[in-house]
Amino acid sequence: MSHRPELLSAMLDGELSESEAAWVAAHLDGCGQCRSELDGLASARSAVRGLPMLDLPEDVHPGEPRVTRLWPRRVAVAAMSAAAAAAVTIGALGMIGMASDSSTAVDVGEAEAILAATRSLGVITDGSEAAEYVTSGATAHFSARQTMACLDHDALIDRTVDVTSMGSVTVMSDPLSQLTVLAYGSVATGPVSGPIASVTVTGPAPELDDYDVTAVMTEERHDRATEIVTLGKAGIDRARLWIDVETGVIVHRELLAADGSVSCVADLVEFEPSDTPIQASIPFDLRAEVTETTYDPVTTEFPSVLGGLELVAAYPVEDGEVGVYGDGVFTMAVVRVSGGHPDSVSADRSPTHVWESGGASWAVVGALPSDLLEAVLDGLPAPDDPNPFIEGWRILFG
Amino acid sequence: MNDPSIPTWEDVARTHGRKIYNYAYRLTGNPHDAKDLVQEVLLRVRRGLDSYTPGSFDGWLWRITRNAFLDDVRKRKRRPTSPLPDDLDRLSIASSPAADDVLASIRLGEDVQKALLDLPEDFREAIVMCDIIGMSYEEIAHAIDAPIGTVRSRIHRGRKQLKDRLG
Repeated sequence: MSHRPELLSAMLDGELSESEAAWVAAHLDGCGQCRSELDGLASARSAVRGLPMLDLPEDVHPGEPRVTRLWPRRVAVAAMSAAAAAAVTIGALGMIGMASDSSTAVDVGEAEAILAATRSLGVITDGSEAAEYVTSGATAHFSARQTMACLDHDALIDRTVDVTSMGSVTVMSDPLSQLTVLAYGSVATGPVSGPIASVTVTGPAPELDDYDVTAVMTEERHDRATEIVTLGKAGIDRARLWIDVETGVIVHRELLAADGSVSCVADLVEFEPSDTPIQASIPFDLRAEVTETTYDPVTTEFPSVLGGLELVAAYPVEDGEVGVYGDGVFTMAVVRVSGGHPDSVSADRSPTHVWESGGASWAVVGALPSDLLEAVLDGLPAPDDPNPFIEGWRILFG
Repeated sequence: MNDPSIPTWEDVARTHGRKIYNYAYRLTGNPHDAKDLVQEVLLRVRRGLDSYTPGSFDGWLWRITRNAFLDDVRKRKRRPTSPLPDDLDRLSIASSPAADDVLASIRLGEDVQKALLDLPEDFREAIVMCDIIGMSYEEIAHAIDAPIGTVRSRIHRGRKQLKDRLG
């Protein structure tokens, strides 16, 4: 008589058809081996079923979504280019800046309140180093280090910068490159090691309205209470922000691809907020050094929209130009330099992607979800076919 | 969203949070990972409810849970997993018959949990869905997108291995 042991487990679970059950019952009568097998399976099943049902830990807070404390609406949205030794305050600032007088919490409906709060998010992009930092530009003073990693870009970004916020001034400095970026009010300044100039570029404001903003739940992070807020577009989550409840500072960010996978993670570590201003080591007098220049967007060959991000500013650099794109949540820059090796584009910029096309070198700088990055690259000139001779030469001789 | 057959997110969190936690805990043996998974699933449910069309809600939820778990596993692949705490000595339970029973059941639970973690992932998943969550074979088949025959076979082979490991 044939044995059908796989039916024994299903029998224990009441998952046999009538005919199968009848067959098993008849078979068991005459088969000691299967009876013994059944006993063993039954005890294994009971052992698992006997495991205690554990309580959900108390610090999981799937309660009512709440609106966290709203931070003052005073921010800078800035991007900068070290190549130009200049900084750019992108167009969103115009919109946000104008609405920035009030620092009172908004007492309208929940979603609107959060949306209003999000309007005050500042995106400070150190375009030169692809370190992007979203801050409330809040009056909370803090120091921290930001670690950032993008998992599935062609070029892995994995770096740490020191961040000091002194109210309206945010200082980001990279211990490795000695590059320091200052952003304050509506102006960001260039690296302290080079000539300092600042540039304010005005342009169309990105559409923040496209994003749904939802406060989801609270979570302890680095022993501090944080509120998790999701930013979604067209029903797809695009970013999650962990906002420190006490200070309103975003202490953790995840950028999401359309399939929900995490493309980039940025984390503030050693986050130390303070009621009083923190002295960052700025080796020069900020007020004395900064000069403001305003550029209107230059005539540019860059597309007006790339991967859903709008061109909000463009400005010339030596032998080329830079286009800054944003949608209110994501910011990135496209760099085009005529001639030269891609290294000439990537120097000082830590780009996400570099390629050559039609005699020019191109770079995309900035942290984006992987599918947005793909869409951005699709909208730009395709890379030239690699020249096998040159490639071989590079492999052999660097 | 006013369809009574569609639960609100708060309902999901309240009624399913504990099940999701137990599912994740038994699959990973790690309370931190399990907690993270609950948060992740609830975030996804929150977003997904807007586009959810009435149907098998549990099937939908467990698909989300499973996908979140698999995504997490992929992310953690390179990270060594933290083993279960071995030092039962830390549990200072006074020696009494009742306490001995408790201790014995804890030891047994740990043995079972360890045996579960030793199973191939596919088997472990099917067993946890069946014996911890109490899902039917059909529900499991729907959640893991496999034929019922596969579910039946995985549960059986998983139990057989468990039996061998538990002696």
